[in-house]
Formats: sequence, C-alpha cells, structure tokens
Amino acid sequence: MRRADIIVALGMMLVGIIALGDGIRLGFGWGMSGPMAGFFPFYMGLGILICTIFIVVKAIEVYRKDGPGKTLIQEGGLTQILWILIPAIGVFLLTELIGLHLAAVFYLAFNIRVLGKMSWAKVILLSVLVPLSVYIIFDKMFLIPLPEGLWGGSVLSLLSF
Amino acid sequence: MGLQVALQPYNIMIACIGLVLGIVIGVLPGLGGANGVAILIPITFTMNPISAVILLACIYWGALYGGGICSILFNIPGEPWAVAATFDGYPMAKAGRAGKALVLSFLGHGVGEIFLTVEEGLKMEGVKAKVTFKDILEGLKELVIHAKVLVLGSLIGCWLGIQPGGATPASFKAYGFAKSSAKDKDQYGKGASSGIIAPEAAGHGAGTSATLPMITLGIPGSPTMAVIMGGLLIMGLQPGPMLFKEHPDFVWGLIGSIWVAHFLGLIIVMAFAPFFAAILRIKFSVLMPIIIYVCAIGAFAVNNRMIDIYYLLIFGVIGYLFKKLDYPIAPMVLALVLGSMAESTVRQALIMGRGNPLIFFRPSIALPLMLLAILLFVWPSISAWRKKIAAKQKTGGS
Repeated sequence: MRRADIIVALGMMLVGIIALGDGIRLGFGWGMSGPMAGFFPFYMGLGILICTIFIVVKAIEVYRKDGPGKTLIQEGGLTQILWILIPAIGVFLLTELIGLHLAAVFYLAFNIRVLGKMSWAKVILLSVLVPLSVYIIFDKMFLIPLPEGLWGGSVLSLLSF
Repeated sequence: MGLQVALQPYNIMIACIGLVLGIVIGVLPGLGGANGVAILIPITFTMNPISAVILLACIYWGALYGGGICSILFNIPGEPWAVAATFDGYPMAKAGRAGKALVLSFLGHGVGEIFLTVEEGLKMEGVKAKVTFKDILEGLKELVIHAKVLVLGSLIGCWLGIQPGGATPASFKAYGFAKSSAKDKDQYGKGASSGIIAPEAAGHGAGTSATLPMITLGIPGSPTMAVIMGGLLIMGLQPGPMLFKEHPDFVWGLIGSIWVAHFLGLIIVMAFAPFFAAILRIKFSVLMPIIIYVCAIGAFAVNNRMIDIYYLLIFGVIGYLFKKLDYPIAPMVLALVLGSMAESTVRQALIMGRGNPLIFFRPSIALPLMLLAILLFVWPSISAWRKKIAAKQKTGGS
C-alpha cells in the first residue's frame, strides 16, 4: 500500500510536470491582451508539483519507518477486478465493430451467465430486453445517436429497426 | 392568480409527466438535468408557453430527485451535486436502510424547495404527507430531530443557488457544516441521517433558487436554468423584469406550478421509494454490466466520441487507485465542476487588473473573500499544528 502511495504520487507529479512543461512552451506571461495560453496550466502544474512533492516525501518517510504496510489489493481481489475490467474493455472494442447496443447484448449475456451463473432463459431474456429498451429510450425517444460501429448499422437494418 | 393557473388539471398532468420524466433522466448516469431538458424542449413547441415551462421545470425538479436516488442506491452520483449525498446515503443503503435514505433525501429536497417558494412570496403550508409506510414515519421523525441541519442546509442552498455555481458547491458546503457541527461526528461516512438531509436540502434549495436570477434578471444560475431560459427565448418570452409586467400570468403561473410541483413530487417519489429500494436486491452480476452500459452511453453522449468511453475506463481505474489510497473525492469533483469557470474568471480578473495580481485583493468585496479563502485553506494545517503544540506542552509541563 505504501509503495502504491509513492507510485501514484509520482504519477501525479508526472502529470504536474507535463502541465508545467506545456505551460512553459505555450508561454505563461502576459500576452497581447491578457494572460498567455500557458498561464493557467503553468501555475496549476506548479501547484500539483509542490503538493505531490509533499506527498512523496511523507510517503517515503512512512515507508522507511513502517515498511510496506498492507498490500494494496487483497488475495483474489485482483482476479475479481480483472474479471470486470477485461470484459468491459472487450465490449467497448466490440462496440467499434457492431455498435454499443449489440455489443451490450453480448456483454450482459457474458456477465449474467459467467459471473452470475443464472439459467439460460434469464440470461437471454435480460441481455436482449435491456439493450432493446435502452435503444428505444435513447435512440427513438431521446434521439441521442449512439455508436454504431463498422457493421452495426447494417446489422441493425437487417433486424429492421 | 398564479395558483389558479397552476391548479388547472391539464397543467397538473403536465407537471406529473414532467416529474416522472425528470426522475428517469436524473437516475440515469450521464443523462443529467441540462441534457434532459434540452432534449425535451422540442416537445414543448406545440404547447402553450405556461404549460411548456411547467413541463421543463418539472423535468428539472424530477432530475434533482433522480440524481439523489442514484447516489444513494448505487453510490454513483447522477449529477455532480449529488456526490455529497453518496457519502452517507450509500452506506445507509448498504446497511439495509435504503428506503429510509431515499425518504430522507426526498423530504430534505422537498422542504428545501418549499423554503424557496416562501422566498418567492407564497404562503407556506406544512409538509403533511399521508403516512402509510414505516419508512416514511421514521423519516419524518428524523427530520424533526435534525431540523436544525435541515434548515441550515436549505438556507445554505438558497443562498448559494442564487449565485452562479449552482447546486454542487451548496451541497458540499452543507455537508461540511453539518459534519463539523454534529454531535455524532463519527457517524458521518457511515450513514448518519443528517449527512443525507444536509446536502440534499442544500442541493434542491440551490436548484430552485437558481430560478430566481433567471426569471428576474435573465441570468441563469445553473446550466439547466440556462437551457430552460433558452426554451423561454424560443417561445418569445424574454426573461427579466419586463416579464413580470408584460406577462404576469406566465410568471405567477410558473411560480404557482413550482409550488404545486413540489408537493406532487414529494408524493410521487415517496410512493415509489420502496420500489426504488427494491432495485438494490437485483443481483450484482446483472446490475453491474447494466450500470457500465448506461454509463458508457452517458460518456458517449456528451461529445459523440468513442474515446470518451475509453476515458471512462481509464479514469475508472485511476479513481479506484485514488479511492484505495484515500484521496478525497469531494475536492476533485469541485475542481472538475468549477475548474473551467475558475480559469475563465481568473482570466477576466487579470485582464481587468491589467496583469497585476493584486487585483484579487483590491476591490472591497474581493479582499475579505480572498482572506477568508486563504484562511480556510490553511486552517487544517494550522489546527493540526496547534494540536501538536498543545500535546507537547502537556507532556512537557507534567
């Protein structure tokens, strides 16, 4: 946990340094008619840098005194997280191909079946019904266009929507 | 006169429809008050202006309620200002008292709003809901116990809502005040009742008082108000002082219907509170993918870009790390909401001061505010430092 603290703080510091650097590049003084573009990022980056220096110093102090502390993720926790994260990444990649609603059908089916271990009837019912109603609400009633992907449009028109 | 308009059956029906629509919109993460109102404006083109604004306003209130539902049940704030409600609402829900949490949130909302309509010059009647559920009874009892928090929260909300910035800072402020003046401080974060009442009362109070500057001065107090104002302009009604003179029936009809809608809203949401609480009993493996799915929709809908969905995942991971390492959420949310506003106003101030940073301290309004801000900023460090010194003195003296 303490190591993670240091690492995350260093990561934030990196963000601050990037903002700082870009602010310098864009110029942070007084431009023609007001603060130059880099003004805000410069000072924000500076602020982040200062704060993260404090955090890192403190964290290293504690680390030196008390050792690594609790582990960040408990036993088996990482597996659980990956079970959620990887399918989520997968479904969004799938969205690029066939569109969000169709991908959601598979995503829901996967989750309910594999993780929830429910009967096939429930799986199919839910994973078709939910995206269907979402599609009707958002696409037809609210008229918000949602990602259709490469082939999604044609598949949907096959299903005559 | 206003009440006559508001209580016409057609308008009441419109109010109910608007409220339900608003709740649905507020509950769905990603589809917030401003979006929802904007999307539904075209529906109002065929209605008369009064009913149209009633509809839009009720969608707005409904969305305020809906955001609270989402925060309490899923720890996902449906709106930025609902984040404060997640602090205590979600633990309460997890402890099995979701119904109570919801009721408290709605009641806090309701009373906060009623305060506002009092400000607008109407007579106030007590909140007397027909009580049939044990949850509602308990909720009302708690409301009386925490009456001080309720009033304080509402007042904070009213005051902050009038200013641009809206409901988000109001709800956090109220939460902070309630927490620091509470007797059961360590209950906060674990399900303290006043931890819900305060931010919700403030949030709703602020949301309602945002109407004031919009109608009277034509300055929208929050993004959703800006959208509603746009709707008014489309209908040919110019908000501002002239509106009261030229279209008094419209203005008072609106105010009257806001009042009516508050009561209607209370009744509707309380009737449905157990229903919403039952949602929590759906298995996680079903609920979780649905939530991610709907969040992705919300993420995409902002800018119509796929990359926003990937950002969703990336920042989800980052947020997880932050949570694990106890980085506080509230400042980050405030920063996200107020950040771009802060940047543009700093810019404006600097231009006014021609580059001289002392501009922040010179005007007589700015100076005390800046000093106060600096004081609040260093206060935690100072008080921690003082505690250290006091402890050292004790051990040194004995």
